Amino acid sequence: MSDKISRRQVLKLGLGLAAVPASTAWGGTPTAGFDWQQQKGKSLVVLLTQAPYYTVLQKMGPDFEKLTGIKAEIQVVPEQQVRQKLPIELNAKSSGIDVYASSMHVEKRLFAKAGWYEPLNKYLENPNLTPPDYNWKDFGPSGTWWVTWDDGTILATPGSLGLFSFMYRKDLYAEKGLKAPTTLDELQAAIKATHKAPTVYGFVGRGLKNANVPLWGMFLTSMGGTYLDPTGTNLTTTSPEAIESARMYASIMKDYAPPGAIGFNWNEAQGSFSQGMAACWPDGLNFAAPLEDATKSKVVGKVGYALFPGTAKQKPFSGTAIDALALNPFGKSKEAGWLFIAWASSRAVQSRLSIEGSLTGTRLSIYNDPEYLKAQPLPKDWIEAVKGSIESGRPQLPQIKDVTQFRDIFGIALTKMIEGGDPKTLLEGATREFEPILKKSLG
Amino acid sequence: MGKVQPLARGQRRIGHFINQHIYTLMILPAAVALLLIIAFPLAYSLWMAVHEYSMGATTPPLFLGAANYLKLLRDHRFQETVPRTFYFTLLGVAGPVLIGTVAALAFSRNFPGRGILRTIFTLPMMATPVSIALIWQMMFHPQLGVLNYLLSLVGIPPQKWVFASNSVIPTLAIVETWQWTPFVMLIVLGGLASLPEEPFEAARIDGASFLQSLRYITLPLLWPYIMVAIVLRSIDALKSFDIIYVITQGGPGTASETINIFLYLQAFAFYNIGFASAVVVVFFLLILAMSVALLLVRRRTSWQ
Repeated sequence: MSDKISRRQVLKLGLGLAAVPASTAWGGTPTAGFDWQQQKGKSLVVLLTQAPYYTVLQKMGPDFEKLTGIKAEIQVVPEQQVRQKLPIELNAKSSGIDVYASSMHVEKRLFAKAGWYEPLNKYLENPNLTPPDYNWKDFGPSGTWWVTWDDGTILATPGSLGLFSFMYRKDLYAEKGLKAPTTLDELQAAIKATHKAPTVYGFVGRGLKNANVPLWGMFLTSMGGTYLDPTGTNLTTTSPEAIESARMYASIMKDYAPPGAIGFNWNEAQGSFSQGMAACWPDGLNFAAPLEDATKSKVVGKVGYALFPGTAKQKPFSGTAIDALALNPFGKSKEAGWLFIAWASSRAVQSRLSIEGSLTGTRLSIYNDPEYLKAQPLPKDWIEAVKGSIESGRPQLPQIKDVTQFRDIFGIALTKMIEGGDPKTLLEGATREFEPILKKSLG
Repeated sequence: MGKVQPLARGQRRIGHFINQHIYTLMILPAAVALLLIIAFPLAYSLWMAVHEYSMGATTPPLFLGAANYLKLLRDHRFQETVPRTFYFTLLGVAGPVLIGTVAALAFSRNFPGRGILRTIFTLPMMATPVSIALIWQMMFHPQLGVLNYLLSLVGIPPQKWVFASNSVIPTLAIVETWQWTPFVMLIVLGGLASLPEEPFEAARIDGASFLQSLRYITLPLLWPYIMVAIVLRSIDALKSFDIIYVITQGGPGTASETINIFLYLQAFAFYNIGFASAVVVVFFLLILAMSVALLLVRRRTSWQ
């Protein structure tokens, strides 16, 4: 097994390197009437999280340097480390990083309140700093909503929109005369029908604490429930919908997921699904690339991509989380930093990140571009699901400051349910534990 | 060569001072460095531990007195981490010490290929914990991992390894044992090489069997070395972080959340720096107490 994985990693590296010569120049001619060279000679440090699309962006660094004359040192670091490093640097008002990737579904409230995002409005509105063809509106409401503060301040530019949708085995479903489920009832029936343990499990998904909260959130949203009341100040995590959705999540995990799924994050679940050992896997559509890669997957061409099932209260939808590019307010060359962001979030670059790094960006015009459709190696189903997911996107996590602690506390409760605990008691306990933390962050 | 000039009075006095305080002067640079890199952070931690201090806060730290410590003592999640940490430590010490001692006894004998085998045996110790943790994590996968495949060859049903609350700590201890057994072996091997020959000769002449001489001569003589290994291993296992964090992140649920993981989450995932500092102080005292206790035991076991 270990030998196999390392070989895969080598292959991945090889593919990555092979892609380099293909990347001749920056896709698109430098915009007429815009001075990309205005900050020539400056240098930048860009901190990105490890993701296939950011690895591609890192490789495109020389293109940026050629276009602007700005030297960009692009670091790609695992997300955990970035989440650790950023608050330390920003808390110290350090200018060591100019541009950083921010996981706004986790960091938005905390970072914005601390003043760690440079407001981008004045850069976007300045025709000397933003190319005329940039087109902010192209990001669409689901992208711009994520990066905009309550008062209209733009905190970052949308990067990858995490689209938590539904992936399933078309072949196994067809055998049973099933299509992608559109309701939770159909989902449960499909899981039961396709479950043939121990060869194929009806379901695989995240069980590991913290990582499991977004998956429970899908069931919760589907049943019409929420984490917070409309004022955003009170938890609604003991509502009938919350309890029922947790019960459904836990019982599916207990009865139809592979043994040990309680400790699975997305990568273990991806392993089971890509090796043909599970019939469905609700998770991010941006994890699809390895499923369609014959060197890594046994299910190439057999995967269907669809929205997560709904109920009478909620039509099928996708859960969203976002990865955005932000400017350090304490940086020394903010204009140069902005030029990097403007370039990286431009239509041409976003399109290439999607083709080579399966970025699920929110620039809607890309998905109708014939050139993009021709170049995208992933199946049409996937592109359709991405489009539908962006349109139906609902935030997957509560909009609060202490998201990580919320995920931790409720995540532990969920794992205890999978091990047989009572959903109502456990949710009440978690709610009691988190309530003071929420109140403190609001006060 | 010219005639050597006698030293001036002042120079003589400096020379005298150096001679008088030679030891103090020699440890001075180390002492200063130690003060800067240990004492200052420790003092700062003590300061933060009595404040409400969280990263990204817009208000200055608020003095809380002992509130962080009181909160910690009442925190049920922290209370669970303490016995769990000692359980992991116990397994993470017992495994390497038992296997390491046996391995040292084996490697102290002469046999063909000993050098190469011994080198191979010490390799795990030199590997980077994070990368080996990632490899073990893949091997533990209940459906795809090689361990369950190997078990299936001999007809044992698949195990859940780190993916179940009741088996996660012993499984992590296997990784810890795999990595640190060579360390114990090297210490014990060093001890074996320094043992006197005479008692063994006497025992042979008296007709003692291998087991008798092992039990009554080798092990008692080796005990001080084994004790050193136990002390070092205990301190390391107690602080173990990378292997646990990479493989389970403290899960499933909190089933493998040791004090160190709890501390990490508070500081770097929840950004509660003040509270985390209180954990640091308590954890430091725990390690100190255990080290002192073990060192006292060790002193009793040394040869007279």
